[in-house]
Amino acid sequence: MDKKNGRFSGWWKAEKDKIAGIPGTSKKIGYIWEYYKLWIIGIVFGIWYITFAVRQYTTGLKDYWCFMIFANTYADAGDHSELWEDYVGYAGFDLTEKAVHFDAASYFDYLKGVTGNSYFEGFVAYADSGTLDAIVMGRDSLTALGQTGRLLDLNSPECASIREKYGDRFLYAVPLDEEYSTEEIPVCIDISDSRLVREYGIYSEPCALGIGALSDNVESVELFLDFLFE
Amino acid sequence: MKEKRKMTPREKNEAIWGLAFVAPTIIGLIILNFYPAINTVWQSFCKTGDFGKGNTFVGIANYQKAFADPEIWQSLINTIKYAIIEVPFGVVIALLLAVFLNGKIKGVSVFRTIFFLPMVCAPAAVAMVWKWLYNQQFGLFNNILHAKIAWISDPKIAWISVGIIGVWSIIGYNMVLFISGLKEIPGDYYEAASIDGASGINQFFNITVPLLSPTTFFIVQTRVIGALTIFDLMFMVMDKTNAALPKVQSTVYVFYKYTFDQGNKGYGAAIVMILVAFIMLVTVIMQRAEKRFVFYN
Amino acid sequence: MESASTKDTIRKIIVYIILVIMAFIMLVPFAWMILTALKTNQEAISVDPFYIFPHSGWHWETFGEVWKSYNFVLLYKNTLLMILFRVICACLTATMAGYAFGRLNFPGKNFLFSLVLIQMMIPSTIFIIPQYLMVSSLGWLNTTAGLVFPGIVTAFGTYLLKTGYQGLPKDLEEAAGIDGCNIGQKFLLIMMPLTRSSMVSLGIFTALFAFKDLMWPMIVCSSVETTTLAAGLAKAQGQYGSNYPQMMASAVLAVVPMIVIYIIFQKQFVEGIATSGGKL
Repeated sequence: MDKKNGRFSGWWKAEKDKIAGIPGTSKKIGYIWEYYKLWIIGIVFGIWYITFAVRQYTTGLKDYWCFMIFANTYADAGDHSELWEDYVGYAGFDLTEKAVHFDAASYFDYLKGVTGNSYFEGFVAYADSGTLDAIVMGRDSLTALGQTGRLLDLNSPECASIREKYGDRFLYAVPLDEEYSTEEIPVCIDISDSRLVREYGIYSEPCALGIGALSDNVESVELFLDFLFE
Repeated sequence: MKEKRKMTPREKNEAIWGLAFVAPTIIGLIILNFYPAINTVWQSFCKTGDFGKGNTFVGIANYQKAFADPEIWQSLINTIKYAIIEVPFGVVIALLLAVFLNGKIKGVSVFRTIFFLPMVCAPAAVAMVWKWLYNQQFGLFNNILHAKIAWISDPKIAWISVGIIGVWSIIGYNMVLFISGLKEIPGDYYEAASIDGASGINQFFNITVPLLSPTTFFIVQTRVIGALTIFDLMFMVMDKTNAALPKVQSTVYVFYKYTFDQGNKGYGAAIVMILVAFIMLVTVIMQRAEKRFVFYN
Repeated sequence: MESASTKDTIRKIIVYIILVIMAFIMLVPFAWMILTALKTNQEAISVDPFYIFPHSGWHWETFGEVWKSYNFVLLYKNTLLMILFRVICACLTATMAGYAFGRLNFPGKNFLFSLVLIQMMIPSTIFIIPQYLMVSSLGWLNTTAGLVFPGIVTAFGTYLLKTGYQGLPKDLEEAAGIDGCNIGQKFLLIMMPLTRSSMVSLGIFTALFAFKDLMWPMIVCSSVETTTLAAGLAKAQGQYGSNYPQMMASAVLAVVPMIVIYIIFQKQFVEGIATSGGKL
């Protein structure tokens, strides 16, 4: 250790002298690597990570036009599927501004129990963070899911125009939370006879669509419904 | 005692270095963990936003409900019972294996790798195997014992069966930590003891156990916390309809049931707060005990 | 002398027997995974408990099918990148904080350390939604940065390294102090190399937890091109429904790199400190 000075400058000088005293470039590099490898790795990765993070922050898409889950289907309904393309085309979204995401890899059935099901956990995370705009799944499962309060009450003012157009298709459930209501409330919309089933064949069983309770994009969902019943 | 005095330059220097060193970790923990945790504390005083309605403040109603709920108390008892199985057995077996594997034995690295395997296995495979082992009609255990024991549906023994899986899956984890602790014991202690003619068992109790006590304490402390927040084992082998579930389900399992399955986040948050308070109490007691039982050289 | 060596041999044999029995118990699920992967689906779901080995030949082709149906190369790449970053981040932050908590005195030390302990007591699920919102507002969804995000710091690792540093002899530092090193140099040149095996075990656990974490990658990286092995397989497993052989074959393929990482890491234990070596 250097005995001259405990400070950084002293250490720097001593190291410089020491390295200058080592013969051969490869040996010099070897010495530096041996003693400072952790710091070198740390700093290189740190810089890489920060530049990446900043670049992502400035360029990455941070919001969705519409975020939908198509649960319990093996058909192709994910991003860039026919359904996705047609919907984006119909709605005329600008994808450089916000994204449209269709998640078709989600498998859970509230009626059969969902404890520990990671797809269900994913759904909860999206619903409770307000990311989820709509979810489509089998009619009975979705109605059961509607009891939990994670789907929007279709009587609420946000969906006035959906109610006007599709009110006759509403499906009802009694909330688990008795304080909210002991009566049936509408939680999802029956879309069994829509293009989703007839043309795209995404579902073969009767299915329904529910709106995420904290969704900010109810209009996009309405557009999706219009698109389905065009 | 609490007399304020000026720090010497040396102490000040040390304080600056110390704070600088912990800063990244503490800032990270605050952003990543404590901000969400405070959110949960707030939620526990709320009736959470069902059907897009938003939170409403309800004061301590969730806590009152939780304290009056026998399910919560039972789940706390279940959790403690689980910890009583997992922690001692998991630690003792792992310690013995680690000591064996630290010796001069052929195939050490093969054994170490094998003992690590349970931790990387797919949970689905683990669940399948244990369900098969515990199966009442076809299970291996009942076949060997010529019995018809309902391992995971009899409320009296299901908690033990689940505890056994817990021990099995944690041994490798504890063992890795013990091995790294053993590697930090200087070898000359053993050499000196060998010259004095101490037997292997003597060495174990007089050298290994005291010198390993910081590692042991660390493992016990983290495993107690881990066991008290156990959750995944219960749903892995037990169905929702299992009659023994109320006698086995852990507190975090109940929290899950309310927060995830039923969307009652306020009540779930209150349950978590009660659990965290309980674990903090246990931890404080353990940290007190640390000074008495742990040997730092 | 004679009897001592016989006793030694007997002891060795007992140790071996115990180790082999334990190894067998530990191996069962892993062997089960491989055997199930080699069966037909019919055989795999058979209720006969002693139907352990496949009857209609060993179906190695399942591995090939699974390999082709997932983009394993991409999944491996994403997973290894995430593991690499998390290990580096965790080791750097935890070793610094562990050193400070274990060896230095500074105001607020006990309070700050209790924060570290409390973090471990809170079920990690409550962190996920707020962390997701942070990542999403940073624009890091579907990126490695987003995957690494919750693993930048580690309470567990901090505690582990603190224990490691506390275990080191007191006089080490004093000797260095006389030499005129400042605290940073002491830490870097003297103390850190001595806690190598604690760092190795932290590396193992960080890699393991990152590898096994399912929910976070599933939520943050919803597209299959950017997600990790665990999440990618889970996402695609729905396609197979209850095809157990394919499920298990993909699980085996997923686990292989993790085992390799572990073997590499645990070699470091052996090289750690050559002077040690107790016996029983």
